[in-house]
Amino acid sequence: MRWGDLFERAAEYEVTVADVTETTESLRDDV
Amino acid sequence: MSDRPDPTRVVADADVLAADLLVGGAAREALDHLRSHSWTTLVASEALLDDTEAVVAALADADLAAAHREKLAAWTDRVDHPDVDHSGLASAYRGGAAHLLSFDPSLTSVDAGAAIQPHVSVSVRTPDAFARLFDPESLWPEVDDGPYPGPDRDPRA
Repeated sequence: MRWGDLFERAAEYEVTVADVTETTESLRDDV
Repeated sequence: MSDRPDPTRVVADADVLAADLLVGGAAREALDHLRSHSWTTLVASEALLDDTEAVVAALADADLAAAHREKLAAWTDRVDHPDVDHSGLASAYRGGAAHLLSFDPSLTSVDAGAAIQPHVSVSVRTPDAFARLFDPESLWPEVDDGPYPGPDRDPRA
């Protein structure tokens, strides 16, 4: 799949940098 | 691997890889520099790809996370490290990368840099700092003696 197609698919989700950083931290804390 | 990290080798931590896909903005701008220049190398371990896939699956869906992982797996140069290591830092260290991109203030702060540098010769930057400071023309002499040819790859391919 092309990057352009991946970005287009991802655009349906409204995600912020704060969401990403919180989720990353939380998943790593759970390990 | 030489002791000197390679300025053309870069690690993006899981938060930046996920933000590139799901948010855009500075993360995508930073990684577009690498997507646009085939002589740069994005480095990642399986553990870093695992972390990224888990973040994308949690915030979007498992199919998108798997497709993203497959794309990253094809793009990245793979390195191994012990499971207990931080996947971003260890990928940079094991992969001889000069740059680690992260949003995590525990890695990007001045204090963190002072703590990391004696152990790992990697510059930890936020994506927006990397996007601003990345200068492919000044790096090109590390790759070839000729004039800088400009971007050589479609960043959306």
